[in-house]
Amino acid sequence: MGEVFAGRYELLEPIGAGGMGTVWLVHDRRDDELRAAKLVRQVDAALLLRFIRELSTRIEHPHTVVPRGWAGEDDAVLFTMDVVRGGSVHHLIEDFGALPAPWAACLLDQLLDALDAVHRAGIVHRDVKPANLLLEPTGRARPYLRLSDFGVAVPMHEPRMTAPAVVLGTRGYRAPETAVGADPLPVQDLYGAGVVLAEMLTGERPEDGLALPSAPPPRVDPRLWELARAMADPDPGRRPATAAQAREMLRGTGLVPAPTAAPDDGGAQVEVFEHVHVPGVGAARAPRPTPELPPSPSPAPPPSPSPSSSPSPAPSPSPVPSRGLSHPQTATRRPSPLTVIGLLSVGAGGLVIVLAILMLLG
Amino acid sequence: MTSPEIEANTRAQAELYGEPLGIIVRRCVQTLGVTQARMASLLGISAPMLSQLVNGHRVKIGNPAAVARLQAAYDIAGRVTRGETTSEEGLAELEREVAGGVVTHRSTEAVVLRTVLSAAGDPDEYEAAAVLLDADHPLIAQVLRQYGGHGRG
Repeated sequence: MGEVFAGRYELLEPIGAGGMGTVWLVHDRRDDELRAAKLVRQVDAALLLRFIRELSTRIEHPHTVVPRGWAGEDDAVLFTMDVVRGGSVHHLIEDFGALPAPWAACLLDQLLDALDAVHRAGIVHRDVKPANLLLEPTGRARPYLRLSDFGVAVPMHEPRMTAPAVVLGTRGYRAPETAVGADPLPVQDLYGAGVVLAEMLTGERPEDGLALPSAPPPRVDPRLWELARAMADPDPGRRPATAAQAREMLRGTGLVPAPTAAPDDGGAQVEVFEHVHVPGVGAARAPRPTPELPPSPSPAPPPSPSPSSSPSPAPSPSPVPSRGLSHPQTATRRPSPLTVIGLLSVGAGGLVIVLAILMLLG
Repeated sequence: MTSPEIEANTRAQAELYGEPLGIIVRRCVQTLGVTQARMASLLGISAPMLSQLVNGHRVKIGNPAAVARLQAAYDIAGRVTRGETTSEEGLAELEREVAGGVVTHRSTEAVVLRTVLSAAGDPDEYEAAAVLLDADHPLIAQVLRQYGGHGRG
């Protein structure tokens, strides 16, 4: 039996490393479900806790994986998410090198669909990269992407307590303007998505911070390359303005396969493998079958972003509607009192520092 | 997948790579003393992909960089077998070769630079200083604008 966290989650095996922590497959003893869980040091947990408290319920989209529940113990916090078992676009590029154009188009279409929903909810993801684009294990059929790791996501248009102490995101996928303190904006996620597209098309990450060369590399589809160039333009003003606009341009290439159709791989035999082998939990237990994957929905009207952002120490439970893909989760909201105090003091410490800086500047 | 298909795949691998990948990979794994999962990560492919290749469920390694790394691993394993190096040294050498690949980490140097510069002057001063330097030292002027100025460098 593995270690049990907070008396509830049995850690089964590590299934990946995300920003700031390791992702584990865990058995939730309360409802006998398997979940993915990210273990994060308490000092790094503040943004994710805030995300769960205020933002995650704004995003209800089948192409995202957002943390829903959390539990604390000692100096660590565990965040639970749906298990996505097919690895990531990073693995896909490692295994197959450059992807066939229809595969790249199909995956980008789903990514832009997710980003459109995220941005409409008033949130910037800030860490769009292949390793954060998880895949359901669909084999040779149509791939199914889910945007993950909202660990550094923030709402737009609000004063940032962290600025400009840290530059977040991952080098190579981070829009150049963020390095010089630009406010979080959707076009920065589109930059990351453009770099991801170029990497899917060539099998290699493009050079950091430079405009993509105007001539498409050998065997790369020129229409998709043109789109990658526009999205990954170092000048944010020259990128497509919104994810929806980028998606429109992508559709214009004619390479996005029809809904539910598998993209043509031209004989490359691209396949999304099963990466997480579910071990027996307690009594013999059949792996949860891959759920029916709904086709991408058409863009939904923008939900009204809730302006309230007053911090509350204990988040109120937020009911999460089932969305076909994921089993409904009852979020864990039972941190040890010490954890709450610790987190509060971390937050308070940060506030004091910010106030001190403001006084010095003022 | 039926056994004739697997046999055909294994033969195709022998034609492409000299020997079936199951044999090549097993030799590397045993000689270097690593698990197959660790070998997959050293080659820069996923564990399920390596498993498919080793079991003959799939013929070709799709990623050319992984082929090059497997070649390197096989060469090193050969030298270990001939007693020219130890398995520990061989593994360390392979890890160094692989380290040239994807490395992602958070960068803070730009922030540090901005913080240092902001302690010594305000953005307008850096803009003024950059103007003085423009003619003779344009690159230094650019750095001052980018990290000390208004962030429009």
